[in-house]
Amino acid sequence: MTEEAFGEERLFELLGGGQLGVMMCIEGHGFLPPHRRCPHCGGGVETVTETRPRGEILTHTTIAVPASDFIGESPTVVIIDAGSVRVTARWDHDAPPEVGQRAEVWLGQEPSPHLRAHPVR
Amino acid sequence: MDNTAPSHRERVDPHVIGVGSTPFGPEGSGSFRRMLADAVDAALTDAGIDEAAIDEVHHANFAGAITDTQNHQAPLVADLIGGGVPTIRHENACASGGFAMWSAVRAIHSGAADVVLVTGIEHLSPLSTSEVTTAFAMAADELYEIRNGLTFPGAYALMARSYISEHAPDEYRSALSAIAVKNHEHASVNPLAHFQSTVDLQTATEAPMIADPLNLYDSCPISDGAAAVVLAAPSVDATGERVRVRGVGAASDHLALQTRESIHATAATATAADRAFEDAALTRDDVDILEVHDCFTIAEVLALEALGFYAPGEALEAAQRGETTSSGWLPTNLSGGLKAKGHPVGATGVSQIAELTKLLRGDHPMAESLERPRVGLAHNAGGTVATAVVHLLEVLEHD
Repeated sequence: MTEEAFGEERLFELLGGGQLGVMMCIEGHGFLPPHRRCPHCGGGVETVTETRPRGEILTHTTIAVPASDFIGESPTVVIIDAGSVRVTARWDHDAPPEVGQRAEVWLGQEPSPHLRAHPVR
Repeated sequence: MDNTAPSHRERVDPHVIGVGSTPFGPEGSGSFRRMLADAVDAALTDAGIDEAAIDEVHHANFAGAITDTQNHQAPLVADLIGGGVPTIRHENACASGGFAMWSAVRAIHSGAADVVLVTGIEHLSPLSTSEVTTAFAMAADELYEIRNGLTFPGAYALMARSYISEHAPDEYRSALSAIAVKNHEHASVNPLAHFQSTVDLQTATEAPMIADPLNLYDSCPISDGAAAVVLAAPSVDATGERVRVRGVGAASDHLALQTRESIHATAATATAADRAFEDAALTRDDVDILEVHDCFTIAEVLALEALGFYAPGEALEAAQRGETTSSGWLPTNLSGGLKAKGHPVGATGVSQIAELTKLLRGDHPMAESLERPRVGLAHNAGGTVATAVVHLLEVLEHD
C-alpha cells in the first residue's frame, strides 16, 4: 500500500492493533486519512507513522439531546491532542473527562468502526 | 489563486432592490411550497419589478430530501416566476443561503445577469427533535465526528469549552446568557421572529443543558421559514428602495474540528471577512450594524472575534458589558439573530440580507433605535464554520 492509498480501513485496522496510523507530509505535518495532500500545507504525503494513540484531552462535551442513533444515551465526545494529530473520540468511562486529562484511543466497532477513548495515567 | 470577483473599481455593485420573508417559527406559515411562494411574492412586491425581468434563480436548502422528500428544488422556484430561467440549488449546510447570495452577486459582477432572485427555505416541522438533530449533524464530518455521537450543539459545545479553556473568562456562563437575553430582546419587536418574547438572565442561565457547557437558551430554536431577495444591476429600473452590495468574501476550512489550526477560532470567517473588506474597499471602522451567525451564543462570540471586531478572548466580556446591544457601539443581530429570530437553515443567510436591508433602509422595527446606519455586515457560516461568507451592504446615497 502506498502512503497516498492509506485510508480509513487501514486506520481502523491499525487501531485494532493498538496503533494510530498518522500520515505525515514532507513538512512534518500529521493528519488522518484519507488525504492525497497535506490539509495544512498542501505538501505531498511522505510517510505513514504508527504511534501509540495517547494524549491530553483538549475539550469535551456530554450530549443531553442526542441524534436518533443514540436515543437513550448521553454520548460524551472528546478531542485529544495525540501529538502530531488531534483525534475526536467517544468517551468510554464512568467518570466524566477533564481538560488536560491523559487518555488513550481505541477502536469501537458498533454500529460502524469509530474511535473511543478512556483515561490512562 | 485569486478567487475574488473583479476589483471594486472594475465592476458595478449589485443593488438589493427587494426583500421578503415569511414569519419564522416552529410550525411555519404553511407548506414547503406555500412558504416559498409567499417569500418570493413579498420580495417581488417590495422590489416593484416584473418577474419576467429575472435572469437567474439561486436557491438555498439543506434538508429538503429528509423533510419533504424533495431534492431538485430549484425548478420549483423558477416555476414560481414563470419557469425557463437558469436555476440552481445551493447546499452548504447553515451557510446555504449566504452562498446562494454570494453566487448571485457574482453573476451580476460578471455581467452574466442583470436581475437575480435569491431564495432560501427550510421546513423542519415534519421532523421530531431527534430527527432534526440527526439531520443537522450531517453538517459535520461523518467519519470522525458523527459516528462518535457528535451533534450540532455538541460540536459547538466542544468549541465553547476549548474557548473557555484558552481564555478562561471567570463569568462565562452569565456572559453567554447575556447574549441570549440581548437577542431575545431584539427579536421581541420583530414580527418575523420565532421568539416574540424576552427572557431574563436567570432563566437563560439556569436552563436545561443541551450539550455542556451549552444550555437550551444558548441554542437557536428549530424553525420553519423562507426568505427571498431580488438583486439587480444599478441600471435596472425598479420602484423599490435600494441598498448597494458593496463587497463579498467567502472561504472554507477543514470539515472536522480536529483538523483545524484551532478548535474554536474560526479561520474561514476571518478569511471571508478579509476578502469582503478588501473587495469593498472598506474597513471595520466603517461598519455600523451586523447580522452574524449565532446558532449558539458562543457562535456570536467567535464570529465577532474572527470578523476582526474584537481580539481573541475579548468578545465574551464585551457582550456582558452591553457593547453589542442596539445602544452599544457595535449593534449585533438586531433581527434577533439565529438565536431568537430563528434558524430555518436554508433561509437563514437570505434572511440576514433581508433584515440588514430593512435596517439600512430604515423600515425595520429596530431601525428607530439606530442613528442612520450606513454600512451593514452579514456573516453566514456552515456547520462549525467549515464554510463562511460575508456580505457588506451600504446605503445608496442619492444625488
